[in-house]
Amino acid sequence: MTTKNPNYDFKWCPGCGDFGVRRALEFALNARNEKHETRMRDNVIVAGIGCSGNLVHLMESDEQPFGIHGIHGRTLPIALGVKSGSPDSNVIIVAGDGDFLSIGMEHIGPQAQRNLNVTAIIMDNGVYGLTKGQSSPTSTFGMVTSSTPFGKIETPLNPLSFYLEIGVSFIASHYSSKPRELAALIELAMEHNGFSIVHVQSPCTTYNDTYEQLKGSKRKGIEPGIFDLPEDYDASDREQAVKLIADGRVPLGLIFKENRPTLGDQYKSMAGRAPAKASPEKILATYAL
Amino acid sequence: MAEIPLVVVNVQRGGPATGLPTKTEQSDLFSCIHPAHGDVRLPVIAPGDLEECLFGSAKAVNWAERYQGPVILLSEMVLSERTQNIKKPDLSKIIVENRQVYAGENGYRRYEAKEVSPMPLPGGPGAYVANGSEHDEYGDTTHLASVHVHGTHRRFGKLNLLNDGTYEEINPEASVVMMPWGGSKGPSREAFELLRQRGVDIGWFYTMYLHPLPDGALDILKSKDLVIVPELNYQGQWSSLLRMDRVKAESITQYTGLPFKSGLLADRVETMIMQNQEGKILA
Repeated sequence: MTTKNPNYDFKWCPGCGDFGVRRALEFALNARNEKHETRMRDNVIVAGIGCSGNLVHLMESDEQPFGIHGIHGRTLPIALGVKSGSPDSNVIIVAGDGDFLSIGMEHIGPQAQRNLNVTAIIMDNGVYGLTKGQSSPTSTFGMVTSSTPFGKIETPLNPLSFYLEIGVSFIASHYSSKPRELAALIELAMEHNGFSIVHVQSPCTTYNDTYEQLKGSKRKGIEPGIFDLPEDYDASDREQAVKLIADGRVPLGLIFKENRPTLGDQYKSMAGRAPAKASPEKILATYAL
Repeated sequence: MAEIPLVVVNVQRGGPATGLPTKTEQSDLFSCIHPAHGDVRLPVIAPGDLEECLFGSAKAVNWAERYQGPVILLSEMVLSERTQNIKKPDLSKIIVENRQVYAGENGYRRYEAKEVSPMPLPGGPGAYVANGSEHDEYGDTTHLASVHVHGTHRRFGKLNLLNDGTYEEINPEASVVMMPWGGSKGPSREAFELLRQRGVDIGWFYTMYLHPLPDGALDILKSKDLVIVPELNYQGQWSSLLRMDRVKAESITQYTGLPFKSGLLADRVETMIMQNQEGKILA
């Protein structure tokens, strides 16, 4: 249920990390709109399928952003279409680890190579929450879920390492319990001219509650799973990024950023080089009959 | 479901799987008219010659805007690689139907109307969620029975906006007609001329607008004793779809990866007419 639409019957569980991400995205969009003198209607949110994708329906205010809630795993092809048709729009993807990194994984490479100027916010809870807790690409090895009753037998994916290897030009990592900090990072990602991913640890309180592992617990002797970046960390240095990711814990901040032309930039420069199109009238003038 | 205009061009080749990648076949008709899971039947235009490729493509774009959904332009290998002389096309016949863009206030109920409603565009007013899940008038996900019923009626109702296609008919009094589709139009037309020269009483009915059919076309087809469909697939896909609509249709099939030869086709049509007289077709 939302203020605008009392009949909307979707619910997130209490404590879901996605609430924090929604708040962060709202902060970031408002800040960006103010800075660029744009309105909510100039933003398009492309949602994946899953609990995370339902975020798009909860973005409401006097003026809401445009949303498109398509099919499972296809946020990037849809975003490519939206950005191509509406290049002035700020395009944001909201998806989860199941949608983006499993069925949607094949689309990350092509958009990374094109450097499509969109921002993806990935809510990683290590589980398929909406469909009741099956194992996802980021579920840990041996994890018992409803689809792996005797433990997961695949090695989990390291998303940050994958993004870096496949050529994503802006990679950030954070977690959902710090919406202000996360908002600043999302804003930075939206400012980046190119394909940016903000990978957010967003725990599922029902099927994979990792709050304690992330925050740590002195009483139980659990070391925090998150850590701040070293002060002298240089996000333009790929080698430092590789070392940082190899730590295995969740770094909080901008991990890697490189500047290179976007798909839109390349397209414009190609359009300048291509010969002018022959008009239909010109072609028809060559007909004898 | 999300109601976004799109034209998909399918150039058919032999299948299934990698199949016959360099040969022709008309075997994707089922998968174009019923391309997905769920209760859906999509508009399909299948041009039969190069002139129709031009006008059919233009119509497909107009249909997509009117229907606000996917329209499939169904071509095939023999058409896509064909060189053909055509008369200078009359571009004044092409009317561009522009998108209906929403220009009202915010809080727009995009999916409320029974049929098509103007589209808001990013940057403009009336932001909404274009939703691939069943949704209410705002575009928010819901699984309420009444909403799914409304949505289903809306999606099928929109097809009624597309019945403005045209058809060709020769010898309309004949009780048996040939009705080829797509790239089989050429060889079939030649076979039809041969049959007429031989004195066979047969009619010709042709349209590239396979779904939805042009206004009145179905009534004509239903009035015939037999509709003979030459087509390049094993299952007799177009005649099957016609029979779904209670047309007495039967296919002459070929699945060699090659187009029909008109002389052989004429012989097969003649044989089928004789068998029909003996009560052996659609018995």
